[in-house]
Amino acid sequence: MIKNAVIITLGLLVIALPFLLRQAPQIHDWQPGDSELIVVTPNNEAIRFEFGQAFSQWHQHQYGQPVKVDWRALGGATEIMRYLEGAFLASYRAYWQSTGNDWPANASQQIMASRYAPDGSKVDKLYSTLRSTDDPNLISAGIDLLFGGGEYDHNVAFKRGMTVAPWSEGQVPADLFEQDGVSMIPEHLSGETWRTPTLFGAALSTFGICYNTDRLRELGVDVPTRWDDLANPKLIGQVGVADPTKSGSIAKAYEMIIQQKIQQTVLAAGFTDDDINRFETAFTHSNKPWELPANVPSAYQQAVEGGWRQGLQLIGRIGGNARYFTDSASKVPIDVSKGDAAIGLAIDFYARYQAEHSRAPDGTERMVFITPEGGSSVSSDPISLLRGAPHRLLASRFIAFSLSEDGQKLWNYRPGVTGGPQKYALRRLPIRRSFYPSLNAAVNNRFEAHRPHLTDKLADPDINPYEVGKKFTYRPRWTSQHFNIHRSLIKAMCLDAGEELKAAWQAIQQHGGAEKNPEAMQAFSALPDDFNWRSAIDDYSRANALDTMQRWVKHFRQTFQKAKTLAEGGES
Amino acid sequence: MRQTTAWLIFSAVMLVYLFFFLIPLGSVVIGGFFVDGHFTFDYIIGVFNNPIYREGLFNSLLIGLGTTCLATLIALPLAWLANRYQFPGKSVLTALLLVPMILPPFVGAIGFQQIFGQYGALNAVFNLGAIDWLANGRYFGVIGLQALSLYPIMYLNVSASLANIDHAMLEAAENMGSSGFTTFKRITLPLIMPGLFAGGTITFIWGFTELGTPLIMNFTRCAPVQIFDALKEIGSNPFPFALVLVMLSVSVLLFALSKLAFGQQNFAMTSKAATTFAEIETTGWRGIALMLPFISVVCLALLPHFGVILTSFAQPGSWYRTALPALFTLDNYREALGHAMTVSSIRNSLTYSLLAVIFNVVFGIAIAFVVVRSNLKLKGLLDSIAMLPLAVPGLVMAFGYLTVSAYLSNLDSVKNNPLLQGLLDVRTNPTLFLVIAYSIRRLPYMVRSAVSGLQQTSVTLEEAAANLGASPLQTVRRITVPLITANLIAGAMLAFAFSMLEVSDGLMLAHREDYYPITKTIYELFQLIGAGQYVASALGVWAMVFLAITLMGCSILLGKKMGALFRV
Repeated sequence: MIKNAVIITLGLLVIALPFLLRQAPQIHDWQPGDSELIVVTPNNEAIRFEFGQAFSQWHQHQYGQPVKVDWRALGGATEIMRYLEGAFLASYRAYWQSTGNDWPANASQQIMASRYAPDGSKVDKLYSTLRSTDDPNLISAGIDLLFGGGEYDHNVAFKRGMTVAPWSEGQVPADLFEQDGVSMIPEHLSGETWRTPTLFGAALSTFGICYNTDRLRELGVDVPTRWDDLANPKLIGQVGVADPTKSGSIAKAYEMIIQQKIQQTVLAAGFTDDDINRFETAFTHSNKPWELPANVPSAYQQAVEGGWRQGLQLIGRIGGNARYFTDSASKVPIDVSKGDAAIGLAIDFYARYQAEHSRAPDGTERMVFITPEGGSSVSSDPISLLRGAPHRLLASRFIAFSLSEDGQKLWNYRPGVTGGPQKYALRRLPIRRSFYPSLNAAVNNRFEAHRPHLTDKLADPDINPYEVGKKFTYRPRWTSQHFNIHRSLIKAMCLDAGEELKAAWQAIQQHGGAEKNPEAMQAFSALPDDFNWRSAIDDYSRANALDTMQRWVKHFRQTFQKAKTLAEGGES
Repeated sequence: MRQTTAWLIFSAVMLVYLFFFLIPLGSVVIGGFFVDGHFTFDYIIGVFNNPIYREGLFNSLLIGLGTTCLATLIALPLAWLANRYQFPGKSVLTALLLVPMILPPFVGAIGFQQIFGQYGALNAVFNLGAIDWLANGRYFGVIGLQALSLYPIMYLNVSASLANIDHAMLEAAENMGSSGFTTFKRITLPLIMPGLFAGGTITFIWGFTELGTPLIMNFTRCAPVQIFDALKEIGSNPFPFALVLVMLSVSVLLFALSKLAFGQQNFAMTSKAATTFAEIETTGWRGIALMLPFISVVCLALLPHFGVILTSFAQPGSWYRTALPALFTLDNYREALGHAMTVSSIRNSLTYSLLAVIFNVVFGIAIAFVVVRSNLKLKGLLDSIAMLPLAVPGLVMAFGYLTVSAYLSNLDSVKNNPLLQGLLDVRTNPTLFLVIAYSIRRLPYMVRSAVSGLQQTSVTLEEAAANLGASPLQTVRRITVPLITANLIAGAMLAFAFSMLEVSDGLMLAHREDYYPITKTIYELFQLIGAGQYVASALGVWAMVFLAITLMGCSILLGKKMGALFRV
């Protein structure tokens, strides 16, 4: 009897606990029947909470009514994109059939394709009708905004016809994009898109390297400064790497590694930055990026192609060191801060935040984050308005709020400060120019007003994205047409043939390292036959094609096995 | 069982499977067959032509088999000892044996890491330096960890079977001069075969398709991780769908084969263990010796749980190269349990899971009846289909339900009817779809438990009732169900616990905070950078404690002790 009573009491206690500890809900003037805004986002609960609260207050102040943001969280950006695609397709189809039309076979694939070429078929009319309809009663995913998830995904959403412009020309709220004659939200920087008529960067981020100081010391590895340091053979099995096949922004980070390698190779070949500028300008006038203009020496193009190859080979060596390729943005810094990986590739704000939360009780730093000098572009985390948004006006106000001085404060103000977040320090980099030092006095004054309330030292040139971005010059001709092919090649080399890659790399290191095993290294670094910078451009469209991928995986398995045998002293 | 009744149940169950399982699944898997609008087998063939996928499948098979063998080696002796002997602390120890299966998602990996990481507790306690257990473990690590979390399934099923054995049979064997091991081999083992088969098939399919453990160990060359990786890829890759289909076929094939090998014999006993037989009392050192295997298994299997529990009490950053956290705090609990999402997500999870269990009990019994008691030619098909949901990756099913809901909610009749919209549009209210998802995915536990119970019960008992004038429904209610209660409880406990811990469906189908299940709240807390993993661990521990009290409470309250729970 006593036993029963004890069990039942225990059970009740456990259930009661959350009720007892429940915090009073935030005081909110919103009543059922007031305005609602539906936002789908991969952003975490802290960002959702702060933006939800602040937008409602801002809206009440500006328009006299609070707004409830109805957040829809479906996991990461990949899941959201897949969901939106499904929701739009279902809606397209229902609308099209309700107007008495048939849904042509293949239509689903064709209208969702990033590039559509009219071919005189029935799909043409369908395509143009859908792209010109923006009415929630006809076509809608039932959601107003897509908030966060990387420029790549927003760009894909636009190409698939899922997003539309919130303002037509001349309707953009005053001072939103330009103030005091300065662009507050530039359209591009460091080769990344920050703003288009349909997507609006709200926050910025860079990629860099985070490392565990104790673990590196034990392994006898110097503090890293360049991407190449991730390929240090002492780091076998110790490098946490993000998976470029699962996120467009991470794929972009790999592109930067390759760009930097090309830059280094070209400079090493005796060309200067001025030469590069001149030659690349000459190329822009030609439609064929591989055809040498008259005044560009072929040695230059050879250096570019050689650097490109070296970039891919560097990624191969990093893959040989990899502990894993993860799709979770937060995993690498968490593991590194705990010493479960020595070093890793990470997004700035995750790493900085994690570094602070993993300090030793005496304040000693255990994890440090660095951005390799001139090795990272600065990417934006945008907001886009979805086609057929049920609350279009509110949605455009949300975009305006997020990009405004008020909205931007949430990203980096300390919690509790007037105008700042209520509860969570978000610690992300605002996009608005006025949050950084400027030569323009008016802009700089605004920065000085923000400065005392900021959690991060945004003036620090290692943090200030406008400075970081300046050190990196993106050359579109070098890699932009290779974007998809890089992803497929890295997948074949580092993920699909990853086991063999690691085994070969390990064998080479165990038998004296790369210098003592030139033959093994040659096999290890061999890219597929007939695969080069030039052919990769043609391969672009076949990037994920079944036969290409299978051929590549087969190639890498064989060459890695050969490298391993050679390193171990056997005949291949 | 009358042929018409059998057909009726069969058709009803098949319809449920068609609408709630095959159509959602098909709407997704079809992506593996259509490329640019053309039907093709290229990807299915591609799976077998690609050495990476071949190896992945082979590795998964080995992992599945290894896990099943090891889980049996752990569970069978323990179940036998618990069935036969009385020893100090037995009720608590046998109840504790079930706890390892309830490791909450996301934070479970953190628990592993804090114990087995390079700077984890294990290396710190024994001063081993930074040994990399997680990276060096690989195959055997995956098998070991999986067996330690899955043996409870085996244990529950075997215990239920052991409890059903009529001890008169064992006594008869002894009277005829058979001793210990011979009796076990010749009498006990054959009689508990249905339970072994039930636990074994679930453990195998689970081990074969498990994603979490290989991911924690960074073992990527196995089919579930390959499917997951390809599913998460940007752009559309048809391979994961082809792979899912191959995995499903392999699961069904192996299930059918093992059924042919083990499942065809007759295990029914005309008399079940109707009276409580006297367990052998042990005291003193014998009693302690009997406690030891239980304590060791529980401690070993609960290591990651200890990791999560300690993390939940740790000040962020204070558990680093030490056996225990350097600083303890209650803040993580204050934040986790006090969070606005928490209370509603607990209520939601309980609602979804309980509704799912009710559905499971009804359908589990119905399916088991057709499979065991009818002469339908298609009953084997039904049995195999009932096992399928176990082999489908959670993400694939979740995408399937989303597709179906998107289709239905765009129908004019649904769009203009708020009631239908609330039921069928997950954006408005995902309850119906979540309950369906939970039910379908957990139904295999119930079916296997009910089938093994029925197989052990002789049909003559039901025939006697019928002869005495009982209607079929009366017979089921008064005779059959009471006779297989132990099995039903075992199945329901598994279904409930795993529904509460379900991840993919909740993550994908519950879009609004008001409808989050507890696992999604854990995920959301985990995503908070900085202290997120600590706060999430606190909620994870709450879920773990709640489920542990439910499971242990069930076993202690209902039957006072585990052995008696399974004796009818």
